[in-house]
Amino acid sequence: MQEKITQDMFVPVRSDAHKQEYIARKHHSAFHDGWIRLRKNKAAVVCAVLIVVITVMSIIVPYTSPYAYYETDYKHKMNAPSSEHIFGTDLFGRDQWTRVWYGTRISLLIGLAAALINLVIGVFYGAISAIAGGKVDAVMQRIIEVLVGIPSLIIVILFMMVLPPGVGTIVAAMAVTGWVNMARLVRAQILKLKNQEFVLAAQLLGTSRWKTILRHLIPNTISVIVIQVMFAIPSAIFTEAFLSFIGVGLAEPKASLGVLINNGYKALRSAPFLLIYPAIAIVLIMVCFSIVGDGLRDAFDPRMKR
Amino acid sequence: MAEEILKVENLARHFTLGKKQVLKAVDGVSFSIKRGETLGLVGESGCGKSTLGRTVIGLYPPTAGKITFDGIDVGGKKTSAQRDELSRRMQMIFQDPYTSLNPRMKVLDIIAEGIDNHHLAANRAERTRMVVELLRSVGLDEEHANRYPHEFSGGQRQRVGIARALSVNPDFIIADEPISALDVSIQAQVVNLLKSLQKKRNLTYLFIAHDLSMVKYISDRIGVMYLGNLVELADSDELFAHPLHPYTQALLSAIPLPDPRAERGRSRIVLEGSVSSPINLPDCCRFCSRCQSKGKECEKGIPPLVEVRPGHFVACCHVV
Ligand SMILES: Nc1ncnc2c1ncn2[C@@H]1O[C@H](COP(=O)(O)OP(=O)(O)OP(=O)(O)O)[C@@H](O)[C@H]1O
Ligand SMILES: [Mg+2]
Repeated sequence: MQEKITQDMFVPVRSDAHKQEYIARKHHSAFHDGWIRLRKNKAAVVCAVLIVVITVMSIIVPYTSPYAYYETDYKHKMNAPSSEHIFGTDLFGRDQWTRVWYGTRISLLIGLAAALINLVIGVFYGAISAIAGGKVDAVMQRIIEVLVGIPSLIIVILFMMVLPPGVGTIVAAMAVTGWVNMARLVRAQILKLKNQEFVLAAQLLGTSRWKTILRHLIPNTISVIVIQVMFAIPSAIFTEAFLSFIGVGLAEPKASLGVLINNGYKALRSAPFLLIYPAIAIVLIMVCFSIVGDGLRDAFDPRMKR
Repeated sequence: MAEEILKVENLARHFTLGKKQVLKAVDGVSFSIKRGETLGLVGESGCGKSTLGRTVIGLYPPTAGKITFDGIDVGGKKTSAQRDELSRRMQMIFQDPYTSLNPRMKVLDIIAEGIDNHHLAANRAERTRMVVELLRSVGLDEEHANRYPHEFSGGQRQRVGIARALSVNPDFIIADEPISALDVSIQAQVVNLLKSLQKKRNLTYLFIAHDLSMVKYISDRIGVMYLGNLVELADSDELFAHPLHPYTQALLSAIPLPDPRAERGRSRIVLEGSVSSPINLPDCCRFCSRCQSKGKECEKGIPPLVEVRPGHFVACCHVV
């Protein structure tokens, strides 16, 4: 038998306007959101930790090691790895363990310096080009196109041959063309932002030009900049290694990973261990920076989330 | 009460695309808005509604014509005091709730931007109090002030945008398709909010949309645009009852009627052909490529907007 349904069994549901607007989610800034996503990316976290470890080691080891990177010992030339010399010794009896970490330090330094110079020049150039617009923009873009047209490696090698060899020269040589990518990215991002409605709204509310740049344009460009820096570091390290490998890089006894690989390559038959360790170091650094860069892009790129 | 707050005369806004190509986004538009009224502006996509709105508010310099807002020439040279006054009294609500709020700023700071620029709050506590009050007036809550835009739904964001526009206490607001990015139930909510705010604060609206039925609901008068021209302008009831321009008639016939019997019995005007390209237009009636009753006289030039009945203007060679 069916139960009879009567009027009094129903109660109207009231919707509470206040409750409708309630947001249950705990609040995070967009940056915090990205940070949470980054932490979920295991590979990126591991690589970030590795980068920190490698950096710290490259600072500490050359100081604490009993051997200096330039200290020769002709009695122990090309020794295989042992408890005395963990990575063995090179052609002049220098401790390879110390030299690998010292070389890592120099390589990281070059990578970082080059990336920072790219950052400063690229961001200013790109931002000015995008904000000024019109003729200024057109001229600045033609200059970039000319720079892109010249093979950058030739500029770099020319620089290295004219100026005295050293870390500064390498960084300067790479800075000549290295900032172009950053400038293009920053310009594209600012051009995109400039036409977005929140920038128009700011203009209507009477926000000054400078304030608009500082509050609206730059903060929305930072993630692009950071990610590009993370890719610029390994690329600078690689360029330096390549230059040293073809013999136009640093001079002895200074060592970068490129110099070490070059030396190791020469002694490949008799002492393969001289090549292996610096090679592993450079691969590790490049891979780690790339993965962290990728992770940052996935975590902070606004396209992932509105 | 019936004084004009905004007067637009022969306004044109052209974009130069190449050496010889000129895009006439807005071309010779005249109308005026009385204090406290809502003028709806409809027309299909690309006919220049946003360009018109942005030129009127001063975002784009006009190519020709004159915009007068309460005695101030918007397109001309202004003193900084006048510029200040304009930015306090004219505001805009934008179409896309996803790009109209800065994703890196808290709602508190988004809404307070105008308050800061015009030094409307004496101290931080007052600033916060004003923002909370604005949030409440658009149906949001104090709790939302410390959140970021990505944490809100589209309708909520649109209301944050409304609160931002209200923050400087404007008396004239241009709403550029404020509801077209929202779903239907939220559309009604936002339109009702705009209506009630209008009553409370005695606002004047220029309401841009392409949905005629929603425009009728909110507007006192409606202007119909076609390819940069205003082709018809009348009280909303009058426009719906006696549409005179063939384009308006076609638009109205496309609105479905709620009564199925009436719906069955009526004929729909289907426009043939497509919109002419807005680039390098010939100097004839803009609608003539699609008009069903066009004749020789249509090629003589752009017909002027003439008053055929009290308050009912139309720009068509046949009606005159
Ligand atoms: N900055 C600009 N430069 C060049 N052309 C433009 C610019 N802004 C708009 N236009 C052109 O002007 C015409 C009118 O555009 P507008 O955005 O005003 O149309 P609309 O009526 O608002 O359309 P919708 O309903 O899609 O928003 C379009 O053809 C568009 O391509
Ligand atoms: Mg538009």
